[in-house]
Amino acid sequence: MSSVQEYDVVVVGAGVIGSLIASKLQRDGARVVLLEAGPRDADRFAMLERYVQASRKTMGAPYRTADAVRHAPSPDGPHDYYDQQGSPDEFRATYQRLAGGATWHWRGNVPRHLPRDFRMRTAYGVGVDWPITYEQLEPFYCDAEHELGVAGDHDEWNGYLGAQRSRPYPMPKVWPSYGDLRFRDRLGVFEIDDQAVRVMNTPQARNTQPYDGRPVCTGNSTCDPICPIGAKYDGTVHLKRALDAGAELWDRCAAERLLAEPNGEVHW
Amino acid sequence: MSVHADDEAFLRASRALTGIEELPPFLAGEYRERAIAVSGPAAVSALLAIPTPDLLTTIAATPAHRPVAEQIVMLWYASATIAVDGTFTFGTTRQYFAGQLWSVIQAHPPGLSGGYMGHWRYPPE
Repeated sequence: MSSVQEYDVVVVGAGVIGSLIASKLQRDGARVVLLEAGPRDADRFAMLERYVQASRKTMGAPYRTADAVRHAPSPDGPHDYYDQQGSPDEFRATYQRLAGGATWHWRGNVPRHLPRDFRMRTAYGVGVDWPITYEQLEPFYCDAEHELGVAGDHDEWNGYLGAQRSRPYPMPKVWPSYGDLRFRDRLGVFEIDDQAVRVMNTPQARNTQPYDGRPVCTGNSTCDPICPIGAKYDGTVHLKRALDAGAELWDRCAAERLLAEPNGEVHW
Repeated sequence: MSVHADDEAFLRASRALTGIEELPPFLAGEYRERAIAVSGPAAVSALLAIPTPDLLTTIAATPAHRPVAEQIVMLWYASATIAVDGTFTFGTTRQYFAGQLWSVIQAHPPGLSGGYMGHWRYPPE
């Protein structure tokens, strides 16, 4: 870029979080630019074709383009890029290097944390207690479920192990499969550590009715790695919303480092 | 739909090899070309020259015919050819969705809708 452009906010990464932030800030009047290392390609049919033609039907199969597999610079590792396969990290996430990020191939499962998850030390003597409570976070859970479009069973989850819900899910639950129903029927009464094991319906960011301009799920059985019709939420939903509101996206643009000036300005 | 003579011969052999009479004729030419690409024209021609009633017994008695016969079976069932190292090579999306495998296991191809919202709720037919 030869010309100087000014923005209020630079969002690094056009995945689900970056896109949600950009969408909200742009709608609130900020001038926002997103930097995305990968391409903005969102051709679902091309992705499906790559999945079909892949010898190994892995989560990354639909996304194996020259752009998407190029290594990202990273000064922290033994190489100058993040080595997804050889990483010593215990959590080896399967990132995708394109706009929308890993939500392209997430399964869309969105159960909330339970109140006890926020006080693991107090309740179970392990880990740490969080500095916030479920009750403080609850309104934001509702907002997130609305933004993503979550299908769930409000009555089943409301109050479960103390997790009150102040708003219903925006869509009715995803119907359980025949196998799920058979399993539930055969499980009967079953306990672990004196806790009854219940088969519950997983809240999912998958449309059970038309929602937010996206179609109903018709069961293609490939949420992971690619929803061919966009019935499952992914980060491109809010990326489009951000761009429609006036945000800019610089794709194929990797941020290598942030430079903080004494006056508080940050450059990249 | 008219089918090329070579494709008709390929279809006849394929029916005998797969045990399935209702193979989609529109894939005969595509699969014949893929079989030639992976096994060579001589091997495919030699297989198609065997009279259909004798096909299975001839293959059983002649190991040289087995590799191309296996590729053809794999093509119709899974839309794939298989290399000696076990690597599968798939073709077009249309071929993948038309694989006989899906009807045999009574499932829809992954990536193609099972028909409607909630179809997964009901037992297999």
